Amino acid sequence: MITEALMAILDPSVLFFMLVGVVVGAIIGALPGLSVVMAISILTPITFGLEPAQGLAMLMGVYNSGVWAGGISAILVNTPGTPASIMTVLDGYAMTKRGEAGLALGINVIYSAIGGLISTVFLMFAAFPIARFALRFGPAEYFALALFGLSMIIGISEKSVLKGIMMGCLGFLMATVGLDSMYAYPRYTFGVVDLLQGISYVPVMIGLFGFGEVLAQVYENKKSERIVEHRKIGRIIPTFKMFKDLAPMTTLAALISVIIGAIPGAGGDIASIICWDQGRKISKDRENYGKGSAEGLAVTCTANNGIIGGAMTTMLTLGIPGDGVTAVLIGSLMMYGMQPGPMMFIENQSFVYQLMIMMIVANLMFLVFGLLTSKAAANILNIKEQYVWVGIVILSIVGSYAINNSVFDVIIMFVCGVLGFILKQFDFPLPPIILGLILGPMAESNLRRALALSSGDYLIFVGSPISIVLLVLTALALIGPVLMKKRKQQTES
Amino acid sequence: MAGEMIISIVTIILCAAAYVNAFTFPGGTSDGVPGAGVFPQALCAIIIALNVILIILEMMKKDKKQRGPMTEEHKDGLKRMVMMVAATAALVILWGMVHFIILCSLYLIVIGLILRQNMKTFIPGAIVSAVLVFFIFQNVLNVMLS
Repeated sequence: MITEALMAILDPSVLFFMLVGVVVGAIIGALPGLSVVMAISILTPITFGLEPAQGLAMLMGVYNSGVWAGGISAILVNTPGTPASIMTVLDGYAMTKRGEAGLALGINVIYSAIGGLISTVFLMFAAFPIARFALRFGPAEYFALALFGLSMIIGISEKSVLKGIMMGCLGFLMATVGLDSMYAYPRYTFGVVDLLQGISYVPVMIGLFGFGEVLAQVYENKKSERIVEHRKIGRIIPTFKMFKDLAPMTTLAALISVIIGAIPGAGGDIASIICWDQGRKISKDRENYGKGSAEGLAVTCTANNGIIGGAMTTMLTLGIPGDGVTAVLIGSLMMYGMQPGPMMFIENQSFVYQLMIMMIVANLMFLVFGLLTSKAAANILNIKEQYVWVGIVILSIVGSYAINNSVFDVIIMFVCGVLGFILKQFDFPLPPIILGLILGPMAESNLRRALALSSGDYLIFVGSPISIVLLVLTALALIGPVLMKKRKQQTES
Repeated sequence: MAGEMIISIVTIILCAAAYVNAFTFPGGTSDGVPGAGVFPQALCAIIIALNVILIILEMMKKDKKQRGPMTEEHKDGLKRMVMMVAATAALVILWGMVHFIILCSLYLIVIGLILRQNMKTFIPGAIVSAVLVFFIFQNVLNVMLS
């Protein structure tokens, strides 16, 4: 069966369509505001006229390469291409500023592929147990997971933890704008219809990190010769020692992200946030996380693509879409007469194997494509900086508009850009705002849902082993740094 | 007054307004399920408390970081940055009233002027870029820019 599936994939036409998908995914993924869901939605009608293997190969190429490519703009111009690459900004852009853009791009593509490959292996051998575990997540577990993610605000607070927590709460407060998830009551909308659906974190992210960064650079009035260091590309492929050093943390990140990917609603953004924070807590290199750590970057890149195997697991075994991409993929499979779910492994066993092999080939394909084009991509740093600024500004504007075809998103991007510039001038950390915006709604809606299910009994949050473990980890994450600081002070004195 | 303090005061005022506004949201149920206003109010209270602490810490600081007088370079940078913000605001306001290609071309030309580019090469580049962006987004990516 596997040989048959392999032969079907190695058909030149299938490989060609996959390559097309990889290239399209790389371009769209690298452009801020344009998502993988959008790329897949655009290409899906094209796949109508193709054979199932050809069509799905194209979509798998887009899915895998789009997630990886989101890190390119995060590394080179401090603007995440996709929400999943939000954490890539922290270490990736710092490496670029240090003259290691090539290495950052190399790590991005290599570890994204490694994450994707490890998660595919899990999909092949442990699809049903992972899916069953993911289904045990109820509101209490989701709340505990969101709380666990929010605990990392301390880790990304840069100079001031107080300011970091304040920014995280501000992001959380921004997330409460729009229709309330339980009563559908409009909160802080002031009669503005566009605010009913809430503030999307994508234009906020583009504004804070893209437009805001350009404003900061124009204000700094940097002369080209002063930032010549940023323009160095450097080596692309990490050394053997680096691979060896990065192996433990990236393997752990891949395992965590497979599980997170399998949980419906928890995507690459949440996986990269949690994996980066775990890495920062247990790594020997923890001091450098957020300051251009190769390990920090490798961990987030592994997590970004590591979720794909998990998301595909839930989709194929249970027929539940974990995110927007898998929802569109379910539609594509149904279009070809296949119904994702347990029966798919019996009725279309050969095609399931084909899909798994496609994911492996797609990862290898974008790995080669990414390594070959890394130098060319890094050349963006050699373009006159004013041209890069103009490019970022126009892509920030059009990219924000493209999310919902709405000028309102452009306004949000613009306001957040100006706000980001002001806050940056006074050392207020910006990443916690995004963290609050992403995890806030998940925490609020699931806390209230859990309490509704338990008729207000708070013991529901310690009613399952998963939520207990997550709450204990959250407590450790909050208390740990304080205890370690005290111990350090005692040792020093 | 330090910039941090101004930011903190503005945040406190906005959060206080948001806190009061949240009283109009539906309340919780009798069996203990929190209402729509609980989270926003809790967050506003935390933000206000944190900002009060930040203000106190700022006031208690002995070695206050004094920002030196603005250099000519910074003044020039600030002027260009403000002009860029104004140009972008104008673009957002005019979006939908003027065709995207014309609007985007004009915007790019203005930005080129603000950034003091060689306009002989920048103007044709701006127009070509605007047409390309429009074509790619409108026709290939189905993003309705016009």
